[in-house]
Amino acid sequence: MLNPKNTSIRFTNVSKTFDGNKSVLNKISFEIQAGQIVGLLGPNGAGKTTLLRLLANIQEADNGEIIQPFKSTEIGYLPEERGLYKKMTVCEQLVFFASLKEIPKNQVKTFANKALQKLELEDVTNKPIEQLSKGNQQKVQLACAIVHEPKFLILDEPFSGFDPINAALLLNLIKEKHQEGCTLLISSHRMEQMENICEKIILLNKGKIILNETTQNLFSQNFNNQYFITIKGSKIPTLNYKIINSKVNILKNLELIIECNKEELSILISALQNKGNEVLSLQAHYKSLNEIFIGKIKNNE
Amino acid sequence: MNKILLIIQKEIKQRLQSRVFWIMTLLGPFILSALLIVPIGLQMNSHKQVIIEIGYNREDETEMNAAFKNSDEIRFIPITGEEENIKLQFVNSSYDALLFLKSDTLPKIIQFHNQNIYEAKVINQLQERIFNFYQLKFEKKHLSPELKEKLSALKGKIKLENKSYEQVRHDTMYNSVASSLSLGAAIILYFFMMLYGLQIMRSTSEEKQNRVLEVLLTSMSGTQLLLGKVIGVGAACMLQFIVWIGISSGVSKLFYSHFQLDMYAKNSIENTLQILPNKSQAMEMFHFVEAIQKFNLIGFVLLFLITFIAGYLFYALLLALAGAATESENDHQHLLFPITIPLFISFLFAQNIIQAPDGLLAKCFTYIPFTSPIALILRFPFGLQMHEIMLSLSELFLFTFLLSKYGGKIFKRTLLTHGKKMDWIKILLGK
Repeated sequence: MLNPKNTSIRFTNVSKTFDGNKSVLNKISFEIQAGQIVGLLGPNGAGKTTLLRLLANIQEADNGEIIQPFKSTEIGYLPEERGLYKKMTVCEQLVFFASLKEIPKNQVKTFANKALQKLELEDVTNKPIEQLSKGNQQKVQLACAIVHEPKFLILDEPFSGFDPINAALLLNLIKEKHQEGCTLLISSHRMEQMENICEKIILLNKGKIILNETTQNLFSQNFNNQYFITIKGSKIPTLNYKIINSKVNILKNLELIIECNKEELSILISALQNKGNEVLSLQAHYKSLNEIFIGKIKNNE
Repeated sequence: MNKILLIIQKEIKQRLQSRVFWIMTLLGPFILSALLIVPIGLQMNSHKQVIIEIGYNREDETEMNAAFKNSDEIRFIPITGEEENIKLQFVNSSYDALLFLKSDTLPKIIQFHNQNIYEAKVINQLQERIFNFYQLKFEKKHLSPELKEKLSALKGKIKLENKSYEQVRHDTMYNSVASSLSLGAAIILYFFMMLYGLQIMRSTSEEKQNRVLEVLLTSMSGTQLLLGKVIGVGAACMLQFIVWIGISSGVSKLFYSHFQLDMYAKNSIENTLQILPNKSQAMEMFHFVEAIQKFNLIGFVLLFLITFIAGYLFYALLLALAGAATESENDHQHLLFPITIPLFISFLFAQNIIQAPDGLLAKCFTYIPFTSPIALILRFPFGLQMHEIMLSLSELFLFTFLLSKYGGKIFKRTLLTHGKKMDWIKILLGK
């Protein structure tokens, strides 16, 4: 278990321009608590990669203050476009990156083997990168980012190029790192995965932060008094509540999305039962992250 | 420092694992020697007819015309008159040599004013014709058998002596050896600076495209990365040089012993001349061996290595910056052109530098960092002063240092810029 640092990452009025006048980040401020998993979302060209580069110490901000408590050896970085030395073997590659992160010489092999094991790459240890499948190359790239057991992991589009099995492996790895106390910042367009794993969402558009919320708050703020109810049978009941959507599922049961105040929920259930409908399941129906994302971006345009 | 070492190790290892590297390392000296020797050999075998003016007495005209027949190699111009006038005319003429055959007896040594004749074959033909001339001349006078015998004994032993000839021969041979070596070294220098510089440019560009360098920049500064790459590739190149020097010295030792070049050295040439029938050829070899011995080979190799290090670092840093700013082959050409032009120009004027090593052009090129590596190597065998070497190298190292110091930031910035066409002004301004 890593010791999460007490100090958090803090951006205060950070700006970055290119070519002297093209503003990529415009006075952005946010905070990431140590040990948190944060999702960085935004349309293409929003400034996500620049923000990640500032955090990875690759670039420097023009203005503003960045408090970044992690040393360069404590940071793991997975760039959006993957890059490896094609002629090197998987093991050589990991040893090289581990050495760059100042892992003692006598321990680099152990660290490399551990990373290989985590990503199920033991079979290809001695193969040159150019002989690996694209998926395995992606995994090696990820292994390079975690080989030194970083305390802060920056992942830019980590799911791209992964099949569902490897995507699940990556999700497990992220969860594992989180449990170990590692701080994670993930930029991705895979909304369903992001809403499952992230504790906080930062939404960036045109160099500005338009949303910065914990996932819990985000969903509760975007709850529109809609409930997802499954009832036995396929006949749509007549109710005094607005039915947003209805469909018969594979088990020939009816799935309904009904708009109703929280206080009237028991009345709705009684009404359904009174009409002879057996209620199989009931859950609050939140807007998906995808819907929130699209809505926020449209409002910001 | 450890991180620079890691990059250096990686770059060296990457090159040592390449088959092409080892093929070039082991076969390079032979390929380059062949490239240098073949043109020299071809040039040596190309004939040029020399013109020799011969002063004689009018009464020997028949013998003169009979003995001195023109050949492919020599055209004779017989001339009679006052010796002083003939000499004066000769000095102002474009003829290659002048000799006088006015003596009534066959002299062992004939004064020979040579301006331009070095080939043993020509000298042999001339000696033969002189002998025939005297033979015909004496036959006309009905020689006694005793004198005939004395004359026969002189066949092939006539010595054409000219102090200035020996000096000219010696200097010309030295110049020829020195020019060949300096030009050859300049070609190798140019070849390696470009070969390895371009390797850095291409690998930087590739690693920029596939984002490896972006990951490396999370662990090190732009300067560290730039220096690591440049020094690593340079170290592999030095290794190649050391192998080349080893192979070359081994081969030259074999060559020296196989052709028994020791016998043409200064201390043994007198004995050799008595043993060998073809004396002029032996003298030719003597001049060749002496020219090689006169050549400051150790100094030259040392200067070559230092110049290579400085020149390579300078050009490699520039090419690495160009590589960091480019993402395609077209962009490479666009940025490569301004860098290679000065080097190419220094090559274009190589002959001028060799012919006038203390001329204004040679001196200017010595102090311009872009041209100084080639100019230094070309000028060294022709009396380049130590202070000139020191000044030129200091300047080159200073520019290299400044380039590495300020290049690191530019390198990092350009590495992270994608999808933009850049030129040198933008790169150097860090835009």
